[in-house]
This record gives sequence, structure tokens and C-alpha cells, in this order.
Amino acid sequence: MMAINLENVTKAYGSQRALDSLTLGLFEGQVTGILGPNGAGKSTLFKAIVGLVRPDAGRITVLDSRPSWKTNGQIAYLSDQCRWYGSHTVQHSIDYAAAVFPHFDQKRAEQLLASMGLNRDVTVGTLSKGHEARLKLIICLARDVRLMLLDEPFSGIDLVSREKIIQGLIESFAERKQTIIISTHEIREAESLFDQVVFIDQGQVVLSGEVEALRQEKGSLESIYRGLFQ
Amino acid sequence: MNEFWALVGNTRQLKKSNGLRTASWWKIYIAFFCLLAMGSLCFSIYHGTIGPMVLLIFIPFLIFAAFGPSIGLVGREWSGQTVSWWLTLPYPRAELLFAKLVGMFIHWLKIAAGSVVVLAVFAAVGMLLNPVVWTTGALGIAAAVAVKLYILTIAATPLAITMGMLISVTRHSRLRPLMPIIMIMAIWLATSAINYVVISLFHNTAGDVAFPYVSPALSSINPLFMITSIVAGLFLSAIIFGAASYILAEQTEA
Repeated sequence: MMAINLENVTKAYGSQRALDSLTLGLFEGQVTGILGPNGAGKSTLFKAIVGLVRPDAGRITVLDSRPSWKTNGQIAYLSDQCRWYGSHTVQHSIDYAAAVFPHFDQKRAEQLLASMGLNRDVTVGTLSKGHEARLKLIICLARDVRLMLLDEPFSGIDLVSREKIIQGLIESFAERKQTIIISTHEIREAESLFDQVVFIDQGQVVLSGEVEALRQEKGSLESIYRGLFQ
Repeated sequence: MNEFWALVGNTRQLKKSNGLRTASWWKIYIAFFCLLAMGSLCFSIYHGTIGPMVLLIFIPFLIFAAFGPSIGLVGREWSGQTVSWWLTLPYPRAELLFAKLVGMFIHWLKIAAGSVVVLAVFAAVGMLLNPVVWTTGALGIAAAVAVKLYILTIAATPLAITMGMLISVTRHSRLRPLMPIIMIMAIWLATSAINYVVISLFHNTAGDVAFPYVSPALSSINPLFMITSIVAGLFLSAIIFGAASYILAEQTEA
């Protein structure tokens, strides 16, 4: 069953086409890596799925519906450039998330807080970028939703934090059957997470497939990436 | 309903955190200005230049304590890079905006309550410094007018908040080119209100010294006028809120 289906979706910012007649189908229950260079259209794709941008043309179906605030009840979305509320403490962030996000598992959030080593009394505004990234990821991972969209969850984060986050992701995937879509430039570290990958450039799919099949046919994801975009 | 009050609480937290970020040198300026204003008022009270009614002229200006911050309150979701969390919450965008309106209104009510305390302090100071002008009778009349002015101001505050929200939402939408028109509308509304309140109500038609006396228009605010003003204010607020919600839902991308 399809979790996300895009048919000839186009989105332009002025003369720049972020998505160019993009057609893509992603199945439920899989972990998909969206890979591509900067400006390929990855973030616009994520935003279109959660309704933050509206396509100029084409059709998007998410969990059998058009993107809207109603479908967002079943989507945990982590934007690439977002910050969390700086005036919250870590504990208040979790309490607020539990109040406003449906299907928020507070017990799971507490476990993730402990495993990712976050002090619950610290104010978010004083957290390092890596610690804030951990908090944002915890808020997403603690949601028991059908679809999880993580846009550059490792961006600008140190190696130790990255490893903690990937460990958190692996634990989360093992416990729940969710559809997860991750865009990242950290291909080597993240490729163990993916069931399938989609390579995007200039708003179009240039290659997609099962990770194992692609590896056998063309080598590692990193070498495929270099071959496509260098 | 629980999530709505969580959103309201978050709005109030954001408002509070903004206040806490005010630089200490700026707080010194504010404190100095307040002391200067209080000293001038006490001096004028002592010399009989102003009477109890003068203080009431400040009440309608409380609206501006709602208008400006409400622009910042919505805009902060963009400037603080929290907009993707806010706009992907699984609730209608009208509800997200309404939570901000309620949060802002509660914050404003606290400011209005503070202003009542300040007026009461000045009434006591007036009775102490100049008991000839600041009589119990004069204060009674001023208190009755103050109640009417507070009611009118409370009724007009949602209008100021929704107008601020409309400006902020439009600024971050595809309808940004409409900003000058909306700004002109806001300025027109504000100047009309100031013109009405300050000139019509506080102007002394008898031609005497304007400030210490009660304008006939001010003392003759009748219940029908009050009800009409409140209903008109709320009606306009609902229209502006509807426009802001539409723009946030249909014309805004993040």
C-alpha cells in the first residue's frame, strides 16, 4: 500500500523549479532515503507532503488523502531549518509536545531523553546545536504515527551526537512499523537505515530502488551518489 | 480542548520570554522615563493643573499594548524558525491563530489590571497632594467614566489584536503586496479611534481649560452607545480574524 504518491508535481519559486513534474510512489512500512545535492528539491518535497507549500501543478496523496492539517495528525515532520521554542525547558518541551501532538508517547520520550543524555531542566535556548537536534528528534520519534519525515536530521551535528541520533532511529524503527523518509547528506552513516533510496536532482527523480539491489548492481550508495552528481 | 489551552499557554510563554530578553540598558531607560512621568504628574497634581479625569485619557491608549505585540507574536514563529512546527500542527489554522488571540488577550488583561492599580495609586496621591481638586465626588465621577472607558477598551482590544495578526500573517504570505493597503487601514482605524476618544470625549466644549473638566460627551456615554460600540468592535474583529485565518490557511507557505 502506498504511503505517499506524487503525480507530476511541479513547484516553482519564481523562475526556479524546485519540483519539476516529479512522480514518485513510496510504500508503507519502509525506510526511504531521499538523496541529492543542495537545491535538488528534497526539502520542498517534504514541505509539499505536510502542506507547508502548495504545488503549482500535479497531485499529492498522503496516507490516502490530500495533504492537510488532518493528515498531519499522522505525520511527524522534522524540518531541516527549524528550531524548537527557545524559552522552553527540555521538560516543558516534552510536556507541550504531549499536549499538542496526537499519539505522543510520553513514556517513550522519557526513555529517549535518558538514552540521548539530555538534561530536562535546561532551557532550549541555551542548548548546543547537537543537543537541540537530539531534542527535536525525540519529539518526532516519540510520536506513534504512520509516517515520519526527517529532513536533514544530522545537519551540522557532531559525530557523537550523530551516532546517538542514528542509534535512536534504529531503536525506534525496531519497535514500530512506520513509514520513514529521511533526507541526508551523511550517506555513509545513514545508509544502514534505508530499505530503499530515491536520488533527486533539479526536482526530478534520477534513480530509485531497493538499497540491496542497487548495491549489488552499482556498488555503495556513496559511489552511486558520486557517479550521479559529480 | 486540552491542546487549545496548551497552544494558548505557549503563546503566553513566548510573550513572556520576549519581555525577559529586553536588554538591561533599555530597562534603565524605561525606568527613568516612568520616574520622570510620575514626577511630572505629581507636580501637576500638586499645582492643580490636572484633575482626576485627565488620567482617564490614557485608558484608550492601552489598545496599543495589544496591537504592537500581536504583530510580533505571530511574526516570531517565522523569525524564531518555529513556523514549521506551528503550521504542521494537526489543527485548523484558524484554531492556531485563535489560540494566539486568546493568549495575547489574557496578557493584555494583565496590563489593563496593572493600569487600574496605577490609577488607584494616583487617585490616592491626588487626594493627598491636592484635596481641593481631588475630592471624593470628583473621583467618584472619574471612576464611573473609567469603568465605561475600560469596557469600551476591552471590547476594542480584539480588534487591535486581530489587526496586528492580519498585518503579520499578510507579511509572510503571497498577499504581501497588499501590505500597504492593510497598513493604511490600520492607521485609519487607529487615528479614527484616537480622534473619537481624545478629541470628541475629552474636548471641553465649554471653552475652559480643557483637561481638568469633564466633557459632556464623556459623561453622557449611555448604555446603548456602549452596546453598539462593543457589538461593532466584535463584529469587525471577527471579520478581520476571518481574513487573517484565510490568508494563513490558503495563502501562506513556509
